[in-house]
Amino acid sequence: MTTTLWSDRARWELALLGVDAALADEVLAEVREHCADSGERPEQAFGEPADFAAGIAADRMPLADRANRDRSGTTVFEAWSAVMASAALVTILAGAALWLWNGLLVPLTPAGLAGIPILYAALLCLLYAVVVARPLGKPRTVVPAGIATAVLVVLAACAFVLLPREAVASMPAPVLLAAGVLLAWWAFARRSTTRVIAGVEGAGEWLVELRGLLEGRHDVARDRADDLVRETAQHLRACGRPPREEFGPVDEYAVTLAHQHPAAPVWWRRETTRRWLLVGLAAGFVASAVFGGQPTWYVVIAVALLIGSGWLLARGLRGA
Amino acid sequence: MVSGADPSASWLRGTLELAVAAVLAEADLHGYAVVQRLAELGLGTVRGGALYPVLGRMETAGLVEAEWVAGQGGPGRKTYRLTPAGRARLDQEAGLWRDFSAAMDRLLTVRKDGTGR
Repeated sequence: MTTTLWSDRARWELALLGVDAALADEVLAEVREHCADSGERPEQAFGEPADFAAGIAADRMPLADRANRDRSGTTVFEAWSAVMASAALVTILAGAALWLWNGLLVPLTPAGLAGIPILYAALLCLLYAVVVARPLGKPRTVVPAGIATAVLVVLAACAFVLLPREAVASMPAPVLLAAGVLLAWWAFARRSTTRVIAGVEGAGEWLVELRGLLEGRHDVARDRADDLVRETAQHLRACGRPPREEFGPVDEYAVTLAHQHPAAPVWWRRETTRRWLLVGLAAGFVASAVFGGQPTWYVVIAVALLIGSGWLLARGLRGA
Repeated sequence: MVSGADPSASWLRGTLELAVAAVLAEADLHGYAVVQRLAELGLGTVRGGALYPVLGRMETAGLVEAEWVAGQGGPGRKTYRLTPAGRARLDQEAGLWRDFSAAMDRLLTVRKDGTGR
């Protein structure tokens, strides 16, 4: 691997972990300097770009910053932004599809007026469960959110089946498009805020927060997280000091402790799952292109996407 | 989070794993007992926020193993034991520490005598 390619990959990995551009510039300049002086290649001296980036994040990022991120470098703010961006994308696509199928005015029916908002709420519940709950440090809310999603889907189905489907009014389709664009703008333009959990003082609340952060944000196995919290509680009883004085802010202690233990992410947070999903989507794209009688260039693009995603998956499985 | 503003606090931070291994070589102990033993030895008060990440790292590396031992009427305690790999690492690092300590002593003695470069 050339120094430039290694540096580009390392910069990408650093960015994924939330290392800011100034620090990335500084450490990559150090790498270049070291390689120029020693004659070594970067992977000889510093290892794989991903491992190098993880080391830099652990050693040189401020602890408060690392405490705010999960193992993949995602903050709670970014997770919420992803939810909003997904909701925006769905709204925009729905607006565009309705415009194409129905023309400028979309008929509003009681079934649709009740069913679509319920379905939208189900989507938000699902996204919360999959994307936000664990980085937020609330892994125990995943199952209730999943159940709420299922209930809302059933309710939406009931609304679509049981309520009248005669139009009672109409709405211009661009309104939905505009709402989607507005939501997307809000998702990307709002300013980052850090959830204040460092101020948690009471031992009970502090330990509950620690447990949620270990398992949820930092992917420590549930049994291991329980074990660590039990031990921490035991230590607090023995020393008689408040948790913040003995262990520091709970989010900073959680990241310090968690990174001494192996990651055990749930299946939907594993990188290989994401790559399988990509392969599935690409395969669906190919199938729709082939069986939908699309032009050759369209099929070629779909097959190229499938090959690319398959290559990514193979790399991920080799590295796992 | 090794308490105290004196420089020795940061020295202990850098050598905490070695110190913990040495204490566990004396006896199997739970976390707070390790803190107490280090304090008895004059190494200052180690906060839980510094100790348990080190114990976790040592457990993951197979240098210590932990077991919950039932307490007398109260909740159990997680007790740490040095493994054979941990003992071998301790022996190796103790030798390296003596070399390091001797080199440091030489440096400081030379500086005090004014015979250094």
